[in-house]
Amino acid sequence: MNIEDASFYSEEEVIKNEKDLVVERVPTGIPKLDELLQGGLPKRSITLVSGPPGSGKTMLCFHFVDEGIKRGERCLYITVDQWVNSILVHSHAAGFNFLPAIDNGLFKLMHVDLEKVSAYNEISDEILTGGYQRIVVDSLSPFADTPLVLGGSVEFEKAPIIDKLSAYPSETRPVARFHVRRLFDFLHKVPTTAMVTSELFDRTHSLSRDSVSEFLADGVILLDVDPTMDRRKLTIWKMRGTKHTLKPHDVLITEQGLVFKNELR
Amino acid sequence: MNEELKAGVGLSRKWDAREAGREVALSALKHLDGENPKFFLLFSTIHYEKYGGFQELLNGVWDVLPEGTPLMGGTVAGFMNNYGCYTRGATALAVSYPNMDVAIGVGKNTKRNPKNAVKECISTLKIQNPDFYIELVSGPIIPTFPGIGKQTVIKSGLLGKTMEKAIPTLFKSNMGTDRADEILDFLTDYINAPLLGAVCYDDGKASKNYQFYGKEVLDNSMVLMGIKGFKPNFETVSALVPRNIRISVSLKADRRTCTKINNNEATTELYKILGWNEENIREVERFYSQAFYYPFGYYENDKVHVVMLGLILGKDVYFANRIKSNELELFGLTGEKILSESEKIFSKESNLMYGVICETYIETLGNKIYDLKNLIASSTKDYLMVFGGGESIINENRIPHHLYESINILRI
Amino acid sequence: MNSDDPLLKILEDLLKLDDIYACMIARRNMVSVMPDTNLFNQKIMDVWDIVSVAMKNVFGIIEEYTSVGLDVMEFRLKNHSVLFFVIPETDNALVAIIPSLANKGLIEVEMENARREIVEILNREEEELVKA
Repeated sequence: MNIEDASFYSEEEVIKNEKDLVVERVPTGIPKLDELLQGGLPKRSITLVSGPPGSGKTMLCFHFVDEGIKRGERCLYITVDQWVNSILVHSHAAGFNFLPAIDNGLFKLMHVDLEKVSAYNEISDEILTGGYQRIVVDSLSPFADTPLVLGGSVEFEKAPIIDKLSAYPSETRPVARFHVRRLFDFLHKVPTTAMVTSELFDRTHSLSRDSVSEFLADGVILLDVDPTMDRRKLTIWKMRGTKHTLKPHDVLITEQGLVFKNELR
Repeated sequence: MNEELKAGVGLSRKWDAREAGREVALSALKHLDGENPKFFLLFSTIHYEKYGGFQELLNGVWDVLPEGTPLMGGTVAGFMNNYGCYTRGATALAVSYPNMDVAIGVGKNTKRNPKNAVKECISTLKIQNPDFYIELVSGPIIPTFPGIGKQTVIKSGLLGKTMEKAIPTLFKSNMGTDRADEILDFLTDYINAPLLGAVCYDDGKASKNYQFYGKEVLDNSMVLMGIKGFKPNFETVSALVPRNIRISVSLKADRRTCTKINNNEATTELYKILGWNEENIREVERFYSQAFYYPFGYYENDKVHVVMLGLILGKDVYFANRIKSNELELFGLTGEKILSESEKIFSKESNLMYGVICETYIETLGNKIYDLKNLIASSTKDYLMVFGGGESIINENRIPHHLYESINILRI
Repeated sequence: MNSDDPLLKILEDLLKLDDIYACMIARRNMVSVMPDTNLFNQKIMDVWDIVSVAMKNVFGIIEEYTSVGLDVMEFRLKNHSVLFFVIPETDNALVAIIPSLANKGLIEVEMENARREIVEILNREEEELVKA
């Protein structure tokens, strides 16, 4: 990752029309969740879906994308850790068939290799030029973990010039913030509604692995799992512009995907 | 004899009283291999009051129990049986044996007039020379004093004296101490066989308790079952440990009201000995939660007779039961001691055991009560132990004891 | 009430006891099974926030010592006691909030019964999974 690519600070376009102040909703594909969100995710928002492995983050993303496809919206699914075929198989096992949408151009599955220098360019090109209404980034964690190589005479805002990578390790917050902000900035530049996932192992200190994205995201949905009691919980931790309960809800992973337990009755 | 004796222990954990009654009866009777029971003991915790009522509980039992079966029982704080340990639910013991005769007597208004209650009970008990008795007596009700409500600590001396005078009135209103010790004394005038008795109780609040007699739900009553046909063994054990603190008490004629301890004002001296802070024990719950674990007592025929603290009436201390000795000792109770003493009594093998244990034991042990259950289960086929508010025993030597904080059993 | 969920039913039964103000099955940072909070005694509301935070610390201890036999934990907060009955071989506990002056021994018996039922259900589910 080269800092020369850091043309990520963009100027915000201030809203001028009153009609643009009304929050439009983007359904998630899970009816009960949409009910809790007053209709869905706020349009053009970025929602962080955070949780431990196996908690259902990817499943939630499948629902989101599937709903978009059903509505004729172009959807992009960026995967970092999993290969494209693995996603296709996994989603099919959960009851989603994305192949027809891929064939007709409504859906793109994109695997990004973060070890490539050109990774960010590939991502930004696809997001900025793809014309997607819905984007999923699964997951954000590898981005935040990517080390930052500083070189040449590029000025890095408010950071000292360093000449050794080890003096600025990748797990420090400023670097994670840099990556997350950069990605979020790409997403904000286009009229898209996005879902990004983050792994979470211990909710003692933060709601994401990078400890940053929960502050930068417009919304946070937390998924918890208790393997002993065989329970999964979904909590809407925050969602800007939305009146929502903070109560955890029991959810299940079924043949119909992610389902709220109450809906089964 | 043992092969012919059939016993069935029943349990219900249902909330609905009627359904619980049916279930507990069915589960007890199924062990009798089709035989009709000669008697049926029924116990439940106080919870059914809110979930249908005790009449419905009894109705449920009688939906199943053969007409005419002698039935007696009452409410208890908890029980322990083949199925487990419970402080919520209903349990029963049904016994059948070819040559057994059983009859039950009932006496009412035990607090108001224990002597008359015993007389009435004996007159209704239609059996000659039974081999042993099982007794249940209505338990204590924390009094509601006229004008001041439910109190255990009345600070003012003048008010205390006034309330002391109100105590007989409370008895007439069937409130106050159970007077089971007096009942036992009166009973010994009429009976000449071993007896095992329990004081009915609720969930430790001493607010209400009930007795069952046939198809009736009673309060402030006693029920007495006489059984002829076999002679079980009776045993008693106590886990109380003396603390080497001795006191001398000066008592009024009622043998309950203590005016002086160690020649000092009773209340002040009591607080000093027990390390109590008057403000901290004002609440009813706190008073009894402390009082039960600091019992005073005296020895009589090798048994520790506990005197239960009842009320603080100004400068005087009122005990719940009559004190037969002016020299008392302070005792303590620990879970470890309960388990070690229990081993002596429960390690012997038996086919059937029925027992009465003080509620303080289950309160002390908490979930460790299962250690006690495991002891019993390792040696006894069928058993039912109830946790009540006091224990009465007349053993094979015909010596009566009304005890607290003890374990008393009969075994076959 | 009258849930189909057997674990929830155990908790709802416990809640019917006067002296159990609230109960749940929880682990660190997650309440796995909780009855409708409308069934809780409203007296706990003044300590609920503190209890929620304290629970995280307690579960830290439970996680560390459950493997060496930690069985029950308790703390008192104002006029309440919070009981933790550890579910064996898990990081979970059955948690109950009761008045500090309650007859705790009697309540503990029913907490123990609830714990045993929970373990039975978990074992049964495990057996069914193995058979499948």
